[in-house]
Amino acid sequence: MKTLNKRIKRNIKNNLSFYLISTILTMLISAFIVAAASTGNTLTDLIQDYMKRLKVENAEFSTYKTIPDDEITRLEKEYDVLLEENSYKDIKEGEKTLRVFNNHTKVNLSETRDGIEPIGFLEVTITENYAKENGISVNDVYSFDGMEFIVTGYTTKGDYLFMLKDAGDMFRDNVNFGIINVTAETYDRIDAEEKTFYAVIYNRQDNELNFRKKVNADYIMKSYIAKESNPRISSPESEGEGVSGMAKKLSPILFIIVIALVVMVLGRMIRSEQTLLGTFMALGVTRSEIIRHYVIYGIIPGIAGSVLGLGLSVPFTKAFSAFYIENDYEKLIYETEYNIPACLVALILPSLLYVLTVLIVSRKLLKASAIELLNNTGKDTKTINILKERRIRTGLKLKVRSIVGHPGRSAVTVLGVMIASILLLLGFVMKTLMTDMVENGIKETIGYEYLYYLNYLGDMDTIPEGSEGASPVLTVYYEIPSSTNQVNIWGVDKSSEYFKMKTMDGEDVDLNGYYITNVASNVWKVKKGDTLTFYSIADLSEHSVEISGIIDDNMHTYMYTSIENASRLAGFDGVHYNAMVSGTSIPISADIVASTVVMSEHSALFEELMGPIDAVVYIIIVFGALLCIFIMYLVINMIVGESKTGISVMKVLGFSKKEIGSRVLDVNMILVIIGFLVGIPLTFKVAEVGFADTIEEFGIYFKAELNLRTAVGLLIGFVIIFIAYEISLLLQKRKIAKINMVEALKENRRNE
Amino acid sequence: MFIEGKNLVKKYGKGDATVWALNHADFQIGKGEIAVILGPSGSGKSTLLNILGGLDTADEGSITVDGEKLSDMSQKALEKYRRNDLGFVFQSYNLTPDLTALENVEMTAELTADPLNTAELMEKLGLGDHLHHFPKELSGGQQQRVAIARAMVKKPKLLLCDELTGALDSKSSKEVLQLIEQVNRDYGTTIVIITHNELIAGMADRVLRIKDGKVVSDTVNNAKIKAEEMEL
Repeated sequence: MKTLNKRIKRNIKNNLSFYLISTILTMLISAFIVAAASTGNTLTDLIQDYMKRLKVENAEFSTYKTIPDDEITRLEKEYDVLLEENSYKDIKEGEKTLRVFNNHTKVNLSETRDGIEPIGFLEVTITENYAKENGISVNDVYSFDGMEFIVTGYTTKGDYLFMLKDAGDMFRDNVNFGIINVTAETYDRIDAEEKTFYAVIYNRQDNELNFRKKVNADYIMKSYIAKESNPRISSPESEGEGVSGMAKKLSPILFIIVIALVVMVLGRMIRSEQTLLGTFMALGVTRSEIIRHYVIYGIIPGIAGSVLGLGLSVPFTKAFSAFYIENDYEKLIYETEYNIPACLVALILPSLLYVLTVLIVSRKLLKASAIELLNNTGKDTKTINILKERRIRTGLKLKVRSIVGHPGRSAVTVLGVMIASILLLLGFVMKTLMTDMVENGIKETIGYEYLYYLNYLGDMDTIPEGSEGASPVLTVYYEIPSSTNQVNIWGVDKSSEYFKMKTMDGEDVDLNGYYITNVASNVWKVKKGDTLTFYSIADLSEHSVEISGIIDDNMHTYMYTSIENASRLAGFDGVHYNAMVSGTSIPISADIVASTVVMSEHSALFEELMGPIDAVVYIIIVFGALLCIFIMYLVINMIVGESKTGISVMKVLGFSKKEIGSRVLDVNMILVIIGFLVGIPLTFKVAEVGFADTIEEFGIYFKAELNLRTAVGLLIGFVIIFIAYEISLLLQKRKIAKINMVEALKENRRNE
Repeated sequence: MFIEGKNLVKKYGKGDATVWALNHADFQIGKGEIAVILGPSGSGKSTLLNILGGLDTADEGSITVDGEKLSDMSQKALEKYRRNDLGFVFQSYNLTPDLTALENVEMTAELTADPLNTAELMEKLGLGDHLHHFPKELSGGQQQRVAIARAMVKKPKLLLCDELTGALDSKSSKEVLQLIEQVNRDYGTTIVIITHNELIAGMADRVLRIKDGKVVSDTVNNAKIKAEEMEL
């Protein structure tokens, strides 16, 4: 056995391409699965720990009547909650807004880094991202709105990890929005409107409903936002879960398909040695000795790939974690955590599967007699009669039969290309879906450019001055049972020119009915004709409406109806509005406007938000392209390896390199095309799995469908696949050139 | 002479481990002759065949085929030589398994501008009933016939046969050798057969014996017998 095992070193040398590529593939995919799972762990644990430490709210609400301090204490005891009145003041300079807090003590705490807490007048701690974007450092004096603030340190506030100005916003803006913590004296002396709300932590979740009913009964609930509906809190919480989810769903698929490919090529490599197996048997080497010898063939790429992969997963995890944490949120101090089950899977599974393959293949081969093995009768070749008596060039016949007559090899080739295509196209499809969303998502159904949220409830009989050409709307949020996404019901003036919408079935929207957006339909799994039940956030009253149709909007969880229906659902007497929409800017008084949304700016912000995701997609594209080249090389290498004798005979017969390439290698182009085409629908499926979480977490539905843009992405993908194929061929053509013509004669002499 | 080998040297290994596969070998073969090269295993006959077939080059000396000096040829020229001037028959036939007998021959015919009529040739070589059979559906003798047809279809000047009866029973061997005679007779092709089977020497016009890399004898066979009369 010792002598027998000496050939392993030589086998590695002879099959260097296979060992190298299978080790690299195992390494990359092991590193990826460990890094994805570990990044998910790191994010989840970091955010959970952070939320707990800074006592982040479970919900925030406002009431029409103020809750007295002694009543807060009584409610805390009776309902086992932590309840604190939170307040802030917004100070503005140009487009910039600084939100001023005086440290809370029970809920939504802050922490200070790189400095000290403010103790003197106008001393502040400031959020670091805003500071960086505006060139502010600790100990600087920062002039804002006529005040000279002294920066004593950086701060992170528990409920502002994801820095949205309004909870209803989708996008953060670190340039124009920041937070400062000040002393009570400074806070009191800042001349700006104070906004107050109550922040609550439920120590017992089953008390939530009774608590809300009690507050509503005694103080009349004006608004209520559960943390799941507050993206400042839900976004970081769900990001860890999202990455973990992606790691759990996507990486096992990629892992299994890549490992499966190596397994298949390894199996074929062992099978190609059957003459040698027969020789060993004839020489009296026992079956178990032969199997033990070949097991090493599987262990080498398995262990080498896994160990290198684990090593590579360390920088990968650090990079992934840094990417998510440092791009999306206020600065957090963290250490990367490693997902032990993923490490074990990456360490053990490849070797286990490779060894199992060798065991299965060699045991199956060794069931044959030594004579059968020596005669090489178990080859993966079938006699194919197609085109037998057709008068076409033999080169073409050879190509067709080479594909059909070697079903195993063809299947591995198609599967390999399919896997490479999925890995490559995944990034392109994700990229095109996102670009499509940025460019069309927001504007798909929205015909207005300006949206003015008013700070009062208007009566339809009295439209505000300066709003000629604008349309009044009533937008009210409602809770959906067991969903973190709230539905925003838009009551629209039937005569408005901005809402001439059509359903996805092509029907005109009749605003007497209730129409939900496509993303809402997907989130709550309701279709036309179904009933959607929702609750008023204030008084928890239940409403049910029948869905009249679906509108093609993949970004907003909206329901459209008439302003009359919306007013009735909200329990108003008469018809009311709380916002105005218009195609152009209108000279409406700033005193009555709570906030303004310009849709084109919204798109730009969305594009900015997509920036980090964009980078992930580019990583996926590069990673996919790399794997694609390796897989293509592995497959082509397998074909050349299996065709060595044929190539050598062709050389002796006088075929040129080009003719040999055409007959032996170019034939695979059709398999490449088939593999690529099969890979397309699967890529869409995998992309859907990858984006599935965005529906529930962000209320955005990435519709994976073939359109002009995705078609361009697919075309680019095909070009890369084709280039990878050609590069592999080029490298293999050098290998073909090296195949010795004496090989064909050796076959003779071996049988002498 | 049609083929002329002068002072051919081919060495493998270095220093004390040097193996002289060809050690200053000289030989000549006339046009249209059937030459049999005989020698035990390791004598150098395979090396000689490789050099003659343009598959390998000699370290020293020269070899000329029909006035063309192989030793001076580039790889491209050697490829052209194998394509246009040379036919090769292997011991284990090496037919393309995915092609029928006819297609195997046609594939080679497509290499040249003016090949023999494939069907006619195969009919002539006794393969008329097996044109559409795949190699694995043919006996060893029939496969070797196909291999000879494949080599002959491009009308080579020289046919090299490497142990062409090595895998065949005596009946099939005789039939294949008769075919070789027929090819030689009908097309005037110069044929070189490499073998360790002494009995085949009977049908040769010229017999070369090789030992330790040297041509130890080069005799013209004046007592040539027909293949069908040989006792194999």
